[in-house]
Amino acid sequence: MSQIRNFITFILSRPGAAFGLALLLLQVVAIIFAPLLATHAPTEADPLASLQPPSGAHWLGTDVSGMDIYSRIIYATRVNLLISIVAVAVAFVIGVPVGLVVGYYRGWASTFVMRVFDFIQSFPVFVLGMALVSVMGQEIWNVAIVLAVLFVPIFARLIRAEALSLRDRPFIAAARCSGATDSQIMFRHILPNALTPAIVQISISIGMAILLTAGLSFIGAGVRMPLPEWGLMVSVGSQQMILGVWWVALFPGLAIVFSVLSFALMADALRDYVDPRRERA
Amino acid sequence: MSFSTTWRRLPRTLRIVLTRLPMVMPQMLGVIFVTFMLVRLLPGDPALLMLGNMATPESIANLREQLGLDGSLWQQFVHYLGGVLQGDLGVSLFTSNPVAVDLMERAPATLELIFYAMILTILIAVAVAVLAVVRPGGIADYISRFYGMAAGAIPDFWVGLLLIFFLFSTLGIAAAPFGRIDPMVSPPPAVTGFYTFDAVIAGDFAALKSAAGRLLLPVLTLTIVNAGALMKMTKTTFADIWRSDFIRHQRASGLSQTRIVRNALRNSLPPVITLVGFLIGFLLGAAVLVETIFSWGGLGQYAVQAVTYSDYPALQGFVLVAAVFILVVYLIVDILYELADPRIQV
Amino acid sequence: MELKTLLFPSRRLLMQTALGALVLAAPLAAQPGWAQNAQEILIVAGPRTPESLDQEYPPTEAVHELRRNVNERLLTYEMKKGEDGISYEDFSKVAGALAESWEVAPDFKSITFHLRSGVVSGAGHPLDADDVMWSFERGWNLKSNFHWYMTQILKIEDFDTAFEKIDDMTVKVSIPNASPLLEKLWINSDLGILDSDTMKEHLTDADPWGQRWLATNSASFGPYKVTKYAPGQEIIYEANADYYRGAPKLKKVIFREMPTSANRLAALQAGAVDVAEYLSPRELSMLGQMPGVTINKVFGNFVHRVEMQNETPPFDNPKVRRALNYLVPRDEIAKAVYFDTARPTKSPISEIYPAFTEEYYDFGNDVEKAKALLAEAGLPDGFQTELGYRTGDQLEEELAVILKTAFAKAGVDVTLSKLPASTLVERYTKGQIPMYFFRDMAIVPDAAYVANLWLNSNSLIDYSRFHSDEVNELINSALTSTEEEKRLSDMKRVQQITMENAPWVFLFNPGYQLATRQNVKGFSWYTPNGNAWFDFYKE
Repeated sequence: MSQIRNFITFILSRPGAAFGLALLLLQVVAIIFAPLLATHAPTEADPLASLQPPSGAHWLGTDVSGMDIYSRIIYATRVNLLISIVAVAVAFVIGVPVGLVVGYYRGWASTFVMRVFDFIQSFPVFVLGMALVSVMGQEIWNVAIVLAVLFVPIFARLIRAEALSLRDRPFIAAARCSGATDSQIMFRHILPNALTPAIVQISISIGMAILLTAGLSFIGAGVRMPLPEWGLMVSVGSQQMILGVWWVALFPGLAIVFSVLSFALMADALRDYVDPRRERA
Repeated sequence: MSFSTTWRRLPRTLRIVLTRLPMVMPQMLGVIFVTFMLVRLLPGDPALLMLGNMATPESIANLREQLGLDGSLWQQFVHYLGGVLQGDLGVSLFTSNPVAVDLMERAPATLELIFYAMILTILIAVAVAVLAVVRPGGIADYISRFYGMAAGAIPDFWVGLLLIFFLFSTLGIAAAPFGRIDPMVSPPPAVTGFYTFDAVIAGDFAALKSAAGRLLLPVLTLTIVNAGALMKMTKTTFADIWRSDFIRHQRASGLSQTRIVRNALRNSLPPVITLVGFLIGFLLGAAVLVETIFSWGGLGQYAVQAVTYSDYPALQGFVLVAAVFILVVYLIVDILYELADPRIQV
Repeated sequence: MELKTLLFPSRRLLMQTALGALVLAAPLAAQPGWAQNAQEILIVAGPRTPESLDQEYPPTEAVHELRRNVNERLLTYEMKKGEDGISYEDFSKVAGALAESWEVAPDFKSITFHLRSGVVSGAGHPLDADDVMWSFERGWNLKSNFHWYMTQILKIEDFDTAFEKIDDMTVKVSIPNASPLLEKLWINSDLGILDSDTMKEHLTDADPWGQRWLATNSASFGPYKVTKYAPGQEIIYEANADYYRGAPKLKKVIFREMPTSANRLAALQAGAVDVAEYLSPRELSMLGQMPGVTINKVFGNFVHRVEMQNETPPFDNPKVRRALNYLVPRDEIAKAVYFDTARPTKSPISEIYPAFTEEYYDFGNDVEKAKALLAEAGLPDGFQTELGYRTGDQLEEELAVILKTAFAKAGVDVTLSKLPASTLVERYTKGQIPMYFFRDMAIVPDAAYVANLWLNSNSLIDYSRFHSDEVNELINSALTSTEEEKRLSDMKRVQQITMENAPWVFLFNPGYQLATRQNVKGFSWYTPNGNAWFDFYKE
């Protein structure tokens, strides 16, 4: 408990981190109270109200189908964060044990797994994501699964690197002498000490996931219309941007920036909190 | 003479390259296999797409045979692998050209874009980082803090759209955001494939002006989005070195500021080289989105077209070339890194 | 001394002059004679370059335009000026094209073409009966477009009995049963005649009909030949100076692919292109208020509708299909999406073709009636279904979102699926998607031909699986009968049955519009909706 209180005090003492936390809370509020905050149904088309500039009736204007942009941005928080958090959670749950095992045991199997990861990472992330989502079909769960596949190697590598440096430490040798099994050593002794970078990575990865989801939707390989999703909304507006209709693409883009920013700032704060030396540098 | 002595007599560079090669080969094979499987699972029957409304069962069967779509998946892969090794990536269903030819034709557009984006990114990132460290509390320091915070949070496609809106639609100062050159201007005769270089070689200033104008917005988009990460990284590395003992020593010895900066910069180079390598790979992915927005006609737009029209061979070709390109870039980066750091044993 | 300097200029001077000349010459060389004939060059921005230059490739909008400019057919319609000043085909007057004259046998079972003399291809080869026979043979053997027309419309069964070379300039086509389309069919630009001399230079054992070569090259007798084809980027047409109707006024047409319609609009506005094809109605209405631009509009024969799988529940019940038709807010769509450039579809037959009638159309926007129909069909709470539309089609996406909201008013919950064109086509061909957008045109101005395409349950293009024995019989009799009166009344009955059964959600006839710079004149309209650059010129 006091850990959490310390962390919050730490955040509040730093303007960047405090800003990030505020943005994050704003999103939580949007997710929980979306029906109360929204002024219109997020997927209801009104052809006669299409492409209206921001006004009292439509705070951030309407898109080409006459859907209210403000309400869609609010509801989209649910979709975007859901996809990203699920993707990162899956990647974490798979990546961490794999990284641990691969870091603990040496041998051809470990090398092989690392080679497979190398090679997943040798593809341009976005291109691989685009191809995979096309294969699996445009469903939000498929987007989440694809992102998870892309993120597993990141978590596995982080944990592996830590495990490699920990496995030869004296306290592990001591545990082994006192008769601990391999799995006890891995999960009780190595894991707790190896987790910090992976936890920081969670926050970074959620931000990445939001950007990738938006990019995939933008080129039409993400979620389907008229689901409110930020990248898809920018894509709808991209057609009009060149004609001078700016509000359709501008606002959802800003939402992406602030959302990703909040996770990046939280990651920075976490990293500085666990490793105070960095801050001074 | 034993193998190990021969080995040790080889030049270091060659040894580094030789140890890397056996690792690259299976990776390449793996890349080919994955691209093949991945793309073959895409929805949509290309034979039907090509025949459309006029399709009859007979004509579909004919076309499938022609395209090598019948036969087991394994046979198809062996067939594909054999082709790839001879530089045959199949024929694009969309353009009816050999995929290798299509990719070769479009590669210069993408490479030119990445090339200029890379240069501008490095210039801006390094300049801001160095200034910020050398003059703490100065303007550059504030810019770097602010910009560093936003680094990696800005979607590239959105920045591209904003630039189009402000610089083209509203202010009208940027060139039209579609294509590499004005349609009224004929492209310079191809030597390098880079319009700007070719225009200089041909002395065609109208083409140079048009091509440079068209490059401005997409290059700016890629730079704005990517310079932040490089700047942050350079700043951290450079700051560590700036505070190190040997720089302090140099300062105490009365070396000029520029000399000191140059020395510090040279020492912060290795990690920056690594990041630049990653950046090239990243820019290739980003090109997919940016090229689509600016109708650039390069590899990225080709890939999006391939997805849209279920053009299997084209998508396969692109993913393959992109992955191989990145493997090669990483290989070069690793080699450069090892060369730059003589402590690493080979 | 002075003379000597002139005769033997110093080496340095020589170098300078040479360098200067090089710098000056280079830009000129890059743009050969550009300035003097900008009038003769047209730059066009379109959504897509043709997929293939082979006339056996399935027809798409881009391909139709290519054929209109490159292919030449045996027959044509005479042109007439409409009240709007635009040239249209006069469907009642057939004229000769590559065939200078022709005779149809009194029993409508054979047609004889007498070829025009002095016709020369883009490659410079003269036309003769061998070109025609070779083109027929190629089309027959490739079993695609030509084969489809010959077997499905003219019911030809055997090549040798049907096609006959009478002499060097005469060819005869005989068919087993009388057909009212025996004459009109040859006007289709899908049935172009190839320059067989050029083709034969590119045949190989593996490719006896030159498919690979023709996919990226042209060999025809039309007004233009293709000199550069970069699919996905551009296609360049250059005039066939020896074209039989005279050399085209535009010597060169550069077609640039710009997939995003807003970019085409911006390019036209900026004067970077002369012509912008397929702009959205919204963009056209914006452009209409701007100086320097002309918008040509015709109603044309395009149809855009949502088809339903008539065999899959709940769409096997005509009441459900009718209910959806009552839910479409056509007035709002006409205004907000089409900006009044489109007309609601009121019959399966194109409104500009003979036999069209709108008297059986009664689909107003009536939510109560729709709910009542659904209740009668046993679905008072609606149902769930899926609607597919094409990737990259902005207008279809707009319509899909509007329809989703509209259908929800009667409890019909629609999932929208954006699919690559190939996937969508595959799924509806196999009957695997309950609802999908369908955009098409029937290029032969004949009601029976149109009905046969979409409503004959034996047609491969009856993707909605509509089946009515009476409709099938009426179509078959109209395709073999040459009694115009009876054909007309039969086709009225077909329209009545169709409207009562509502196999599709009728939407709009979007028409055809073309935006050009003001100095581009000569717009004309043909049934395949491709622009004929031969008719255009610049002022």
